[in-house]
Amino acid sequence: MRRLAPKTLFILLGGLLPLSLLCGLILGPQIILPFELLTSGDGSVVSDRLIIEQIRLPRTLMAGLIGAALAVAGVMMQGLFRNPLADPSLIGVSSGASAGASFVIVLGAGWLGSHDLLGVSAVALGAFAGAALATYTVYRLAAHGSGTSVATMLLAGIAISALAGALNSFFSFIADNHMLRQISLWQMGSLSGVTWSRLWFAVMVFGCVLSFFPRFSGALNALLLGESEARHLGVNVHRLKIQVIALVALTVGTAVALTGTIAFVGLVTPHIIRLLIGPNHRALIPASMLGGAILLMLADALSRYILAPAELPIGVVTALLGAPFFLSLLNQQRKMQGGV
Amino acid sequence: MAIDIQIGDKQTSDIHTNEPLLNLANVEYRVGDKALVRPLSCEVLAGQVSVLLGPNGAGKTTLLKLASGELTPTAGRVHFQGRQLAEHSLSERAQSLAVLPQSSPLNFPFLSEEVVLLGRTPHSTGARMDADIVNQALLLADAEHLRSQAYTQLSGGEQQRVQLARIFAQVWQMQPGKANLLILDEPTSALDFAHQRLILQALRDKADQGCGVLLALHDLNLAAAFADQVLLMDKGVLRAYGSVAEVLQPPLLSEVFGLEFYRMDHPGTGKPLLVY
Repeated sequence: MRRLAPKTLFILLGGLLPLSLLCGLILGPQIILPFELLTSGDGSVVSDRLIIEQIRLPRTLMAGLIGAALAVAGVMMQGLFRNPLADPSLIGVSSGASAGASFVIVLGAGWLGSHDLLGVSAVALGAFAGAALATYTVYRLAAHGSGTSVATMLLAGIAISALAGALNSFFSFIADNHMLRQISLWQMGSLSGVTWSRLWFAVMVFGCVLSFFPRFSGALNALLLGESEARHLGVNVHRLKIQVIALVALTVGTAVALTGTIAFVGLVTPHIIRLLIGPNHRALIPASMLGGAILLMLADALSRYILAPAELPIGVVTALLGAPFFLSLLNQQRKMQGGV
Repeated sequence: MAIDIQIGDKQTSDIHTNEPLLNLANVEYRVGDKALVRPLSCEVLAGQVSVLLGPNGAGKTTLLKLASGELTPTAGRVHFQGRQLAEHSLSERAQSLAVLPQSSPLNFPFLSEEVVLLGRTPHSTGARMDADIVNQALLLADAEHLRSQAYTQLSGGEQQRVQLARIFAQVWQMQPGKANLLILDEPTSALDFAHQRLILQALRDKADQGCGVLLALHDLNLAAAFADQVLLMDKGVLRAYGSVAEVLQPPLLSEVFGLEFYRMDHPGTGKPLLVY
């Protein structure tokens, strides 16, 4: 397959980004064309303006941020494990984050209050701890002298996911009604609770974290050759792994705490981008951020539009789009090398 | 493709200082109570091709890993460029020591030229110079025509040549006052005869320009044709260590490899030729 020049892709994505933002503002239970707001000034427009300003704009921007964060987390995991099928949710990071967040909600919601910024950051902390613990466990189980074993990693991921799932159920079981609602709200993956204050919190965290990722691109490129090869190219592989795992856990943990588990964005986006421009991380990392943002903004707009006035959980939309893609990918890989 | 059959005679290089480029002193490596490499000492000089021979499981790969710093010896010391290997920082070491492992598990579809460019990771010489070096390295390994093909779609021998080009690119230039070292584990295992010769000649040329070259081989006659010194290992023991004429003796080889060997002169070059 012929490759696209990275520059062409960036122009394309740069054009799509404002378009999908516009989609996010227009689509919903009620279609609102933003330019109507500018031209006329009667009563119905005021409520439309409120919908756009207070609901759709923060929500769509959040979708973009979360999409970028999840996509880049996927790129990093795939690079680190040198396997295109690695994904934060496949190796237990997402479920670990879920369990951590449930734990904080159940044990902490009593004295922390509920929806304010403090509450969000405490849940985020719990999700981060859960994500970090799950990632570290899977990584330790899969790592041996000469590298990481992919089969072990996936098996360990399944086991950790099951364990975290059991913990999750346990916390849901002992939770009271208010906590249960909070838990189930973000477990389905939802952007409906997004407010400006949450958005600013997300901007702060992701703004810091995401700016770190591009500096790993050279080292990750070398790592794709193999661990000892990367070491012979002067890369401190051990330090690289620790840093990447910590940053991915922080990213995914925060994303899960804010909007719940949103599947497949982290797996599918890097793949599409890699098919288009190749595996070089220098272009792959920023392009995946843009692609993930576009994908989730569009998925969010769709989730509000398809069953309007009801709203599909966004996790359902991404899984419905992502799962068939993932299956076809597995099929392709099977054809190419006779098994993973 | 023209193959240069001419065999490089040993040239004494100007870079040659008294100090060996790589010095292994009483190096031993054991896992549990099993000794993979029994205490041995040897040197690799700048400007020379050193070939490591021995049957499967003799400890060749382990010795190469000890020499490249991938494994830390359980006893003894490894010195590179006059300093203990562990004292070099990773990035500093990578600027003058390039290693080609037996197999490379790259399964992402980098283009061949991107793979070779990865060899420039330890250096910051700028995109233009790097591109130039990548071109020349690809030519040297006869992989120029593969440059814009995906690495994952190449045959085993083609992949090996691209990896070789990557190693060449990594130590293309010499740091002032410091000789480069190439360590290669069976670099010709997947190559046809013509390419085996081509790669060995390229390594010979690198040595003549002042590099040290240490490689494991299975072909005794390639070793006889291109090596300055030969190291013969068996069951973790360095059985013999010296010039081609000293080491490649039929009785010793028969003992190590468990086969009857005969030695004659190559009708074309006059170099020793071993048959069994």
